[in-house]
Amino acid sequence: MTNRTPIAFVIAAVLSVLTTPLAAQIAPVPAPTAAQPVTPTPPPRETVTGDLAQERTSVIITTFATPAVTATPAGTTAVLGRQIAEVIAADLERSGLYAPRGPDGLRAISMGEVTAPAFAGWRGTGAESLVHGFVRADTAGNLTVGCYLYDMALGSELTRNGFVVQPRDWRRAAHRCADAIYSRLSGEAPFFDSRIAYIAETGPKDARIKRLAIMDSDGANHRFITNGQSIALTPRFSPDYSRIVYVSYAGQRVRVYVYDVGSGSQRIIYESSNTTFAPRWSPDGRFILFSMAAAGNTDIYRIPAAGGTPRRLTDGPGIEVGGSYSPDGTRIVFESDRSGAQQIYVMNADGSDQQRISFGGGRYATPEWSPRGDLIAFTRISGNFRIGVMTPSGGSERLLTDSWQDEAPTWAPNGRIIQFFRTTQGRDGRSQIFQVDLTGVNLRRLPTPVDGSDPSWGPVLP
Amino acid sequence: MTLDKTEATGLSVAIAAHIILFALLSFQLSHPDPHFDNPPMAVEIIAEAAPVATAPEISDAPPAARLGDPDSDEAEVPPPRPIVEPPKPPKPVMREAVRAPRPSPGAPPQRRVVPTPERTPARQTSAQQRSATRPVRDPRPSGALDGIAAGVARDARPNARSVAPPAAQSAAAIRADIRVSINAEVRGPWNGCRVTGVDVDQLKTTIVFRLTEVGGLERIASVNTSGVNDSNRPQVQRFEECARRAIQLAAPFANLPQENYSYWQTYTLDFEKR
Repeated sequence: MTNRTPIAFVIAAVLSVLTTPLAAQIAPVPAPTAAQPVTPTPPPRETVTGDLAQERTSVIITTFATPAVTATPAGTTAVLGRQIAEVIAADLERSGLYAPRGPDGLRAISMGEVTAPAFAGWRGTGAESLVHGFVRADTAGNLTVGCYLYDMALGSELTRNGFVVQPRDWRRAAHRCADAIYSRLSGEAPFFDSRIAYIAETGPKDARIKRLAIMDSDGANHRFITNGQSIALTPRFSPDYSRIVYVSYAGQRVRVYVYDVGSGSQRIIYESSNTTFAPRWSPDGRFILFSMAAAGNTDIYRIPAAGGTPRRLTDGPGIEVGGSYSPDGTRIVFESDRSGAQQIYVMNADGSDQQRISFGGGRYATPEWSPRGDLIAFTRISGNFRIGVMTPSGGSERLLTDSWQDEAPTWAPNGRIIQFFRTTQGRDGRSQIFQVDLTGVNLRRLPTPVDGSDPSWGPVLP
Repeated sequence: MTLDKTEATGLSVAIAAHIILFALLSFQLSHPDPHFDNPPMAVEIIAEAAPVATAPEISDAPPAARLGDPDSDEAEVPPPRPIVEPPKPPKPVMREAVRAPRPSPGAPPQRRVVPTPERTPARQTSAQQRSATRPVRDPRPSGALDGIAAGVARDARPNARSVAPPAAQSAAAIRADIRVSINAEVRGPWNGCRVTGVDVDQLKTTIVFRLTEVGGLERIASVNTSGVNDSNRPQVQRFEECARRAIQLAAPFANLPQENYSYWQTYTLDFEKR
């Protein structure tokens, strides 16, 4: 038997080896488990990516209601209700961010709807936002203008504002209302209720008449300040809007004038036979910067706003011009050709710590610090004259326009829009005021009665 | 050494048994189609629009019932005899990628902000609408060519690997489906809320929010924004508002699997514009 055992064992082993795979193959596969709750690891998180290139936000603006049609020096409250809505719509459209609809073509609303809009009816328009408002005249002769902004999809009120104005200031009430809507929807500071000073130009290029003029931000309420007997240049509003500083050329004399907007009077704060130009206010209104060529060297000077002895801030061998204060008043940006070509520099308000911040090809001129402080606008001269922006450290340079000659940027009071003037080529070329959104879109001309240059956008009216 | 008779007999039997065994094994191994009682399955997201690729039930019905149209009322009425078990409602063979109908632009938005108290009826409504839109056909297996074609088309799923009846979803698949579902709902209102300005593309708002069991918005737990600099700071408030608003308008979220509520009860979304 000792000999048989191995044979039987071999047979058993062979059988075992041969049959095991078969058994494994025909054995049932474990059934997949049924749906089980998911263990919450990792916690659910995802990214929702939207598109920056979108259409303008659609806003419905109806004629403002009035509780009782009342006659005022500026017209009846019913007429004013329509005109105010029209100004608001025009403001929002001009901002480039919104596509207003109305008040033309839209039904009038009742006073009750001002605070309880009939959303169901307006949603059919597909608009995202709804503006209602009212105009009421009181016994004292004042107008009360109320405006309300609603989110159409949520059916919720976003903001409401009320303004009491003299009837003649009804446009300001409309601008303030547009500002409230714009600020609420864009996040930006208001800017519609502001004014612009500029140089109105008439006549041929070799015998140009240049007059100082001011107007509202939408071009309304235009008026000339000077009569054109002397050449006016580079106006700037004081931070409190009470004064305008500008340079006047009469014969061989150059004068820096401060014009008092309230009284209509003006006085000389500096007079010289030296070429003097580009005055700028300090943010607190106490000082004025200007540039002057003296003894073959052009430098930046600071003078008290009431007049006095100028103090020189730069003393390099090059031409230093065009100082512009940072909003906090601690720094000044200017241009200098000390490197061989005009470039942009910044320095402390006392003239110390001068540092170059622009290093691109071509030349840089007319730097202007944004009222928001984050950017500096300039004219880039490289073939054409173009408007651009960069950070105060010289980074993130972007050019916003591309034309034959765009120059002299000035900021909207909220630092979102840049105004400049554009000159076309040739003897018959014109100078006109344009503006462009900081993102490089919405380039448009500001309508003026005559040609314009050297725009200066003042702060929001107090 | 010679074999005795007993050993010779034993060896002969062993050899014969080997030959038989070899023949049997050869027959088994050469069988072309081994049978699996419960074959493995593969689940795959069929399309982004599919909110939930729920594992379908393995149907006991013969192929004709799957290939044909839904049973008609006539077919569902049992013959007049005692019913031992209540007839089960017909389960869908494959849940279709059909969302609950979006409200029209004119619908009151408040309805969307308030969590829907009942979710199941909405699904039934959706299914009923789906059924109602189907063309009326003879419910019985009549051999009509149109029915066959419809059945073939329905079986020709784009996922070629899912030849076996799908079973349960994996955790990852459910996570992916919830992501698709919530992201698709939020993206529309997020895109519709305009924010422009310099460096807005650098902003990212992170919102943590809690949902109710029926997919409604319970509350927004936190809102944080990164990527803020001097140029885009004015837009931060509006950016956050738009993100919050997108969730409010998108809620309640349909088609979230209730059995996995613990997974999506607290959700985090990062909002950006590029």
